[in-house]
Amino acid sequence: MSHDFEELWTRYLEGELDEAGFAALQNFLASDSDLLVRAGDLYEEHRLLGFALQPFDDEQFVQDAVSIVENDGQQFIGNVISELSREPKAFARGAESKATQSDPAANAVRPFQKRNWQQSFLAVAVAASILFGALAWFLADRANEPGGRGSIAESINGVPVPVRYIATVLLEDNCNWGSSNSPAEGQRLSSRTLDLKSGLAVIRFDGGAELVMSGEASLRLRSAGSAELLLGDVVVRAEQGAEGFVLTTPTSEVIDLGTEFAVKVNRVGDTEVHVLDGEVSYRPIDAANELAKILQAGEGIAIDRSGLPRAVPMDSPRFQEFIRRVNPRSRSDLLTAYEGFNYSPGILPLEQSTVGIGWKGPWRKRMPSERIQPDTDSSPDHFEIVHGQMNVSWPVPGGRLGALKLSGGGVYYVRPLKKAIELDREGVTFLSLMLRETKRPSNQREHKERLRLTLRSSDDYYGEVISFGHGPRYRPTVQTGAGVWQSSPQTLPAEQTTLWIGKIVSHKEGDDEVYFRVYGEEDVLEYAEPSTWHVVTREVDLKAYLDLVLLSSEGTTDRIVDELRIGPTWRSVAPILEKQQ
Amino acid sequence: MATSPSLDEIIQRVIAGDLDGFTEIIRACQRPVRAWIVSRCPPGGDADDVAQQTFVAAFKRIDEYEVGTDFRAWLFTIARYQLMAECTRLKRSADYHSRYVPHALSQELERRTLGVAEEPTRLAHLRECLKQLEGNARDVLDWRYAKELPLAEIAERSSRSVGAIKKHLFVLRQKLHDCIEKKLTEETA
Repeated sequence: MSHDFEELWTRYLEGELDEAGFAALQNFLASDSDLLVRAGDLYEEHRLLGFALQPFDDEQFVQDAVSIVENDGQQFIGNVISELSREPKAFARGAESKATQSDPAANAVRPFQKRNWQQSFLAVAVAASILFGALAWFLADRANEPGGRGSIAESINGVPVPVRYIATVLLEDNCNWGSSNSPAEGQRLSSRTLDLKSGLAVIRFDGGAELVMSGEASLRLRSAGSAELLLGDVVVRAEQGAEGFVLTTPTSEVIDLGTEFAVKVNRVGDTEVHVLDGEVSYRPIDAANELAKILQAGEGIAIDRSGLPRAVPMDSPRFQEFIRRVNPRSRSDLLTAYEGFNYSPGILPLEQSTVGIGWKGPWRKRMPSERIQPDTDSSPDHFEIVHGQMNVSWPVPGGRLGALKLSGGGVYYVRPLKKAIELDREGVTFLSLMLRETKRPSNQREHKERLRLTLRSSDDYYGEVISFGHGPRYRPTVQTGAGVWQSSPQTLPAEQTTLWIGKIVSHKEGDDEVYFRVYGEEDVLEYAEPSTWHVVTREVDLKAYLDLVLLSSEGTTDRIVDELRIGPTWRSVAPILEKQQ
Repeated sequence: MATSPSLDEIIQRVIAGDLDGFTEIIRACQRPVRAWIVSRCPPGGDADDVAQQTFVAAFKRIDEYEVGTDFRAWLFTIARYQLMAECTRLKRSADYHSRYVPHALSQELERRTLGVAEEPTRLAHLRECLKQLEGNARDVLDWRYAKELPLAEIAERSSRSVGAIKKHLFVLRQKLHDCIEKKLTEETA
């Protein structure tokens, strides 16, 4: 074992490795399979040393796990009762439904409280049996919901198990889907079959592989790393980290080995595999694993129903060629709310801040009932509009015509939305905001700089929220109310214009998903949402009706914000560069 | 591992609605499950959270378990899926491989996760090997792993430089690794 590896490995375990060090360690490990196995052993032993030597409260772990189980059961029953108490049509917002929205504290991490198990679950059992008939109606109603993207996959012990989402729709172009349950851009997909009649769609599996399907095609999504092509043409791109993607067809199984390949299946199930880059492993579907063969870039193979492979000329466009042909364009026409602060430079009374689309009224300061956290507010009664103070490196007109300057102190401005974001139903919402940090104080602990874009509810202002922003440590953070927040370990680029993009995937049942990514001036936005985000939440289950946007700025420095966009797709909010035809 | 009759009895009680029984199951199984998850959990992951989710998922599916079969194997399978989900979540974080774990090591850990899930054999051997360490060596490991002291503080306590402590830690880890490998080889023989 070399001294260099020893040095790198020790620094790695001590958390001292920088990006160059990571790259060097990666080179060591990627080029020596024995060393990689040894590193795997050393890593395991390092972790087990912590396990063996660190004090751990076993009993607290037991009680915490029990507490989670208990709360899960009770929360489910409460949710069902709440749903059943509504009129079937009242899934759209109504006065009654607002009254049944969950207690925000329900989302907080609850301290362990030991309860009588038998009592709790006897109550659950009785409630479950009483509700059985009504529950059947409830589930059937939900299953028949138009476009209802499966919210319950199965039921165990009367407890619905949330769907496991395995992929995301990245792009749709003139898609005509075979079923009424048409997927939409940005939508999360569970294990299901996609029947495309015409058009083009790009799917990204959570394992990292991306797949483009075009024309008439039928694809069954199996897991985050596998699918079955029943009919049609697809091209799979599995870059570093996504190797091992498995695509089965009626006659064969293809395993990606870090590559790009095309698979075509005709109506009788005959299969062609074409390798565009790298290599794949393939075998007839009924053959043993040992009979798998490797297909190299530039090669093609056809496998018919009899399982006999024969070479065919490689013939398929590349993945990027499909994207280039579609030339994904901005869909700002889909925006549900937009604020570009397109006013003349100078002072603008708040009551005159009426431009933009998708708003119920102008911006306002917080009302007394909303002025609790914090209870001080130095927001002026006017906006200061500035021009030309953003360094806009993305293809957007904003930032030049007008932008809002938020002065230091604690300023809070609220604007009501026409179309609320309803977290108690299936949906996808994207948000973006451009902002410029004028100065970053050197003593961050003292200055407590915070900037947030928060979605709140007018009926329950301090209830469930979704907030994107940063705190004193300048790390991208998502807050969901009741003190629950999740941060990135990365620090925002200092004193430059950044573009914030958030994505909210709400599910009727199970965890909602909130994503947050901040782009610096050097970052390029792709045609579709990124595969990696700065913050990806987990265990967030919200039911709120978010109809207010709150911009809040705290600290000593001025900030400039612009181009607030809310829409249903990535392309509706992200300033993407369209290729010239 | 064969399921002891008492564990099956407890499981039957849980299926029948006795939920205190589930507390007993967690108490009996949490250490080996946590040990496996800790040993496989990639950097940035929350092993204890994955372990908790494992037990929550096991409770929700307890009626799928066939009484009389290997409960621990069933539980470890759930743990494996929970850990795979955590790995997928981590990989979606920006710059994960350039900040938390080199890509090759990440793949190696994932490969191991797909293998047999059980209480790590290495843990028992590690405990034995630790007993062979004495004096200052054991102190350094305790400061580093039990108390999680910064290297600078460990250096100060032992009147040595930070570089020397790093070197010492590397040597100790190698020594433990060799000891574990030796025991694994003896076990196989």
